Amino acid sequence: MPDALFEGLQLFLANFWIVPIGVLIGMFVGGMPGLTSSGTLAMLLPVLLVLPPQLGLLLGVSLYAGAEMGNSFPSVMLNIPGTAGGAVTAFDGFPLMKEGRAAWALGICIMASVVGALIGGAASLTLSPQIAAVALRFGPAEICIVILFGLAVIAQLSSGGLAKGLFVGLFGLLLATTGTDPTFGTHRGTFGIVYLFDRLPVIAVLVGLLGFSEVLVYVEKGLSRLLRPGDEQVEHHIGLAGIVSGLKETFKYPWELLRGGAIGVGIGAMPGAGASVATFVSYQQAVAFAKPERKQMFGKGAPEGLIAADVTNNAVVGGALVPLLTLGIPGSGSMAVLLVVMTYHGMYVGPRLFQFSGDIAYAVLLSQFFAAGFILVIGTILAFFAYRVAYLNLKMMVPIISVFCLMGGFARNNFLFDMGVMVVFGCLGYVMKKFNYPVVAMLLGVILGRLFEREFMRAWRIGLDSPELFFTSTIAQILWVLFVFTFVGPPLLRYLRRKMRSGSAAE
Amino acid sequence: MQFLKSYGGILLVPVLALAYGAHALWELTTGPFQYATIVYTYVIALPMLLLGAVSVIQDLREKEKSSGSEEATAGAEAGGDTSKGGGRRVALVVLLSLILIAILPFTGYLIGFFLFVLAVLWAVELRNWVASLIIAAIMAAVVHFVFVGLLGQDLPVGILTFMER
Repeated sequence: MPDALFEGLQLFLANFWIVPIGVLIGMFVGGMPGLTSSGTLAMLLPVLLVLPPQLGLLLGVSLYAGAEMGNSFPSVMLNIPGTAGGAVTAFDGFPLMKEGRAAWALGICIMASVVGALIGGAASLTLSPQIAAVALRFGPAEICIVILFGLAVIAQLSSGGLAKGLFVGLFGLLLATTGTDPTFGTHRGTFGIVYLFDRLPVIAVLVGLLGFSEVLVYVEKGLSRLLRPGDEQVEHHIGLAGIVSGLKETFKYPWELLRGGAIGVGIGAMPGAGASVATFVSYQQAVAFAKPERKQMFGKGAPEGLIAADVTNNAVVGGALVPLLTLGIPGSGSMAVLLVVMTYHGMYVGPRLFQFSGDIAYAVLLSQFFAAGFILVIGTILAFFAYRVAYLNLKMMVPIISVFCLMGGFARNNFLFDMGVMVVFGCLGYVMKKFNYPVVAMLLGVILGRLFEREFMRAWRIGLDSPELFFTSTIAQILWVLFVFTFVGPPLLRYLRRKMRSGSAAE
Repeated sequence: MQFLKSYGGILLVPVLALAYGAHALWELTTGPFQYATIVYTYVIALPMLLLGAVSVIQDLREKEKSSGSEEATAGAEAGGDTSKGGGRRVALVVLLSLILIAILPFTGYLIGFFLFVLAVLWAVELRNWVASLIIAAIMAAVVHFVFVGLLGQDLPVGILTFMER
């Protein structure tokens, strides 16, 4: 192994110039609503195949890492997440932007992403075989329970009340059933519309619910600017000082960083789960473990929330590399593209990859550390210019954001119908915001619905039409205990701590 | 009519959910679906309908409680700080977006997006025509060079057939 590691380092140093290019393209892609890293990698496949394998893989991994950071820019500045995983960043990033602290928020996002990339890199480099072995033991029932961790956010974060949160979350899950039944191939909820036969276009729904609805809210309020430089009610942190202050702020939350990193690596290593599940779980954990007085801040600009989202987003990259490089199982769409590159070049795919192409595998793993450095540099430069969007005249921004939203809806499938879906869900999101329904809960249901249904069906069929499988395996039982503890644990621990404190005070 | 004006907003999302949920359940009873699919849909749709009813009851109670207090009513509706004609502007922007989608196949993306941006700027009451023309031209160029040129999006060219790739 040390020989292969050394050869990998040499190989990487000879090709490291591709990493900043990948990070830059990734940040651009991540920042564009509707464009995903997997979609862009698929579009770039002809280029990736022409390049030597090490260059193609390095470009792919650094692009993926850059995209996971880049999606924080539109999330914070415009409340339009570039990807599903970036939706969580918008919860606390956008309120901070409205307070005039966009530079600070972006600084936190950048540093959390850097730490996430480093944790992901370190974990994938040292723990690959162990993580892969554990992840492989997760069956469909276990994956369903992991998704329930993400859905638990609904119960804990709904500003309109628990019932409303669960209601629209379930509505989202039901909407996600639109299209072809993933197990049996029957069409449901399509109303005979051919464009819905595949499924409800998730990116169009996402852009509509979060982005276009926000445009409509601005239009209704008739705001001319989000922020005014001379506004005395808002204390502005402008320029590099604000970004640097945000970068430093991140280190005040070491537990959030470590917890988010661990969740990102763990869930990233599970095939099919990905950043969207990981960030929601991480955010939910950050809320669950926050002190009661801090809990109120989540959704209103809590740095812990931003850190939880961004550190996890980037740690997922390292986690997703584990099953790909050790077992040949792609954990996400981006990893599937990289798998195609590996097989095209005749690389051994599976547990013996490190034996036959150890230098390339280690070069890819090592590239994550360099990508983290470039995320810091390129991210800071971009943030220096990006936060100024908040000072632009919103009347001018409305058509610009609308065009991006429309293109975001269109980009994935190239259907004008998807643009219409985006507008419809934009209107729905606008009404929901007006009447205090948590838009995010519905979004979560729509994003995770397909995966949840597929795994639910598999578990149901393996259990011979019975829910038994959800409760019989040891891993499932442990996950259920952890799931319940997520709700019961933190208040119980706080109660015990308070009791102990009052007891010691009485003595 | 008065009832719709007072409670229409509160009821809109639950009614949509109810309609979709009822459609999904009806489809299951009439279509050729497997047992597992039926179970999954019921597991989601029934609690959803129940929770929808609970949230409507909560909202209506809250509305009744706060009907005497102007302050509370303003708080209940997020659009409390709406400026004059806000609803009309929202409807206009939505309508313009739908018109854009409808005319894109005929006008093509260059003309379509140019006209859309101009119209939206007019709808949000930006009356600087020079700035509006410049922004509209820039956005049409961005769509052409970034989305179509760089990212290879397949937008309709409409009457500008010479742009076909």
